[in-house]
Amino acid sequence: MDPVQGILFGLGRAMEPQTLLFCFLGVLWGTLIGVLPGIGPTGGLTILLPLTSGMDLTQAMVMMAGIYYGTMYGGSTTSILAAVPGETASVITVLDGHQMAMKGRAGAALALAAIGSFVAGTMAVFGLAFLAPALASLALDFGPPEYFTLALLGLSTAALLSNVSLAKGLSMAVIGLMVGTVGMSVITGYQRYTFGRIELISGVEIIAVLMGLFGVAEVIETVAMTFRPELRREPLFDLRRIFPNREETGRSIGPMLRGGVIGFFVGALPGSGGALSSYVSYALEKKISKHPEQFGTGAPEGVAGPEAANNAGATGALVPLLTLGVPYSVVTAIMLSAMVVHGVFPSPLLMQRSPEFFWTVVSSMYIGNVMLLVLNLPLVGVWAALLRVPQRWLVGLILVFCVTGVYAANFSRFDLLVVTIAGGIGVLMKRAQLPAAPLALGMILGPILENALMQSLILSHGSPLIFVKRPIAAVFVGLLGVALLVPLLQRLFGRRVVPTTEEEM
Amino acid sequence: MRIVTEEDDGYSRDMKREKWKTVSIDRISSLVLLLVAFVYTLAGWRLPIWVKDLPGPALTPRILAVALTVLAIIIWFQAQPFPKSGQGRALWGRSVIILGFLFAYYLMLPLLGYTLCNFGLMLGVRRTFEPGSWRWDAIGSAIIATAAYFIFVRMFGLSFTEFFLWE
Repeated sequence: MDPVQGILFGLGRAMEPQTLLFCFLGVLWGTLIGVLPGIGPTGGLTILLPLTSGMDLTQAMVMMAGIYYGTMYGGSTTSILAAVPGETASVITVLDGHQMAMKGRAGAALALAAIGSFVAGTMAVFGLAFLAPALASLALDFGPPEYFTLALLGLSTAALLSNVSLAKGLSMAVIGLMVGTVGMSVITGYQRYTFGRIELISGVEIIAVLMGLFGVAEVIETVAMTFRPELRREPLFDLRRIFPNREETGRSIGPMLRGGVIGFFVGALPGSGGALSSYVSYALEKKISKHPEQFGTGAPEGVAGPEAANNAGATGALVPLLTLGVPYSVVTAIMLSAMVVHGVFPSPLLMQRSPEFFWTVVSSMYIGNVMLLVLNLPLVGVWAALLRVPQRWLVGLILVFCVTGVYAANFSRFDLLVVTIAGGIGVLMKRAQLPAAPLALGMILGPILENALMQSLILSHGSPLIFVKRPIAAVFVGLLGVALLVPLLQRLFGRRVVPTTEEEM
Repeated sequence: MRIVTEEDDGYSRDMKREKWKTVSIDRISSLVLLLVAFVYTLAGWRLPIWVKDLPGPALTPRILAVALTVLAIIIWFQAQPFPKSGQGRALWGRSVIILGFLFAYYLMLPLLGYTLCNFGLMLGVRRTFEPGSWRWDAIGSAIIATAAYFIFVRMFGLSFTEFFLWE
């Protein structure tokens, strides 16, 4: 099935009432999660993950993808209106979006963010549709050594991009891999680290750990760090005039298109996702702008570009999952978990074996983008009003969702204990500035990595040289070396820069 | 921001004291990671690394333990000052309270059931953070707990019914 046929076929399936309903629920929930500060796409997806086990897989994935890019849409609302980013990808939008709002252009800023997200989201869907078959056919030659090195590269890059020192990021990835070794070893059949507990034979419940790290710990941080009752009294802006004027539109078209391209390709890189896409887009727009001095004071390019990029990045992040079967971000790793629960293991053969699933998910993203445009522009006042909901209600509600979701996954009370412990560890990790994303990714990628390692060593009769003897694997090893050595060389030969005042720290 | 040398590290005495406090968080992290690597190795000590010339179940764990040990040592030597958040006490207090609520939920679920536990969790959170009047807090919590029952148990068909009240 060629991409055009695939999209048309997928559109037909995605327009079925039930699929449309789940797509709508996904983008609605995603927008809600994006609007509310504190719970990002990871937390929002994790909370609903257990419910997807009882759903049809295609509808579940349509809903989860909707949540992911819906979060990117929703995140811009609070960034622009209250200077409080709903999720990390919208942090950069605060700079110019909130300044536009302060100048009486709140409606225009929100419209630029929504239209930019729609344009870039649509571009990214077509990018995914046309690029995925080519990548998947390339990946058909992959064997265990290639998968091992590819997964290792993804995990290491995720650690590298985790915004802390490489050693801390990698150490969390290793801890995640360690947690992934708990339970029955698939290749050897041995039980490891179960300590006689039946609940641990099938491994530590990933959903419970994710819920603890990204649900409970995020809630605690929201309550403790950003608990600001004055947020509810934030003056809301005039949102009756939501369309940008001619000058704002003219200045935003280029950034939207560039943001779409940048976002898609940066989003497909290991460990990057939407956040890095928006930063790269902002930096590029500022660099090529004739008026870089206007950035930070309400430049429409500073809203349109990053918002377009973060939405395209969300779609781009699905490329490695759907074509190679390797998730490169925590969000796509959660999607992988949902697929595995349904007995579907993503691989380069996914498009051949399950074309209906693949093309329906891809096409539904286009429909979801249209839904988001309709949801976000006319209803922006409703989303803004959510900022007035008392935080104590939201905290309680999110916790109820967390415990329900965790319990519903296996109907095991033990998992409630796991989520509490993981939540506590998540808080400690935040205090020690240890990133949770590499840990989660390591935990999910662990079994893939270990199986590929064991199979590779069995193939080579125990020789690790197999990872450099096979050309594609050797390329991945080379890239891995570069990824790990560059920060090391920077540290060795670079000069140390420290803040000189306490305020700067 | 300025570039500094080893002789003049740019910190006042107070800042050095603060720096020591914050550096110690990295050092504690490093020690905890070393402990994890040690316990992990010890717990899997009896597992074979190779079985009949094929990789055994302890191969990956040993590699991971060595990697974590090396990384922990690097973190020790790379310890950096942290920005002081000024929210430490509030964070710890609220963290303990929320985790306490969750632990209580785990303990009480078989006794009180899903709906009453949700009611307790909601009410507890509301009363702890920015409480309103008792009556409205209780009514609001009851509405949410009942709604959760109808949505998750009745609509989604999740098997919480055996815990619903004392059924």
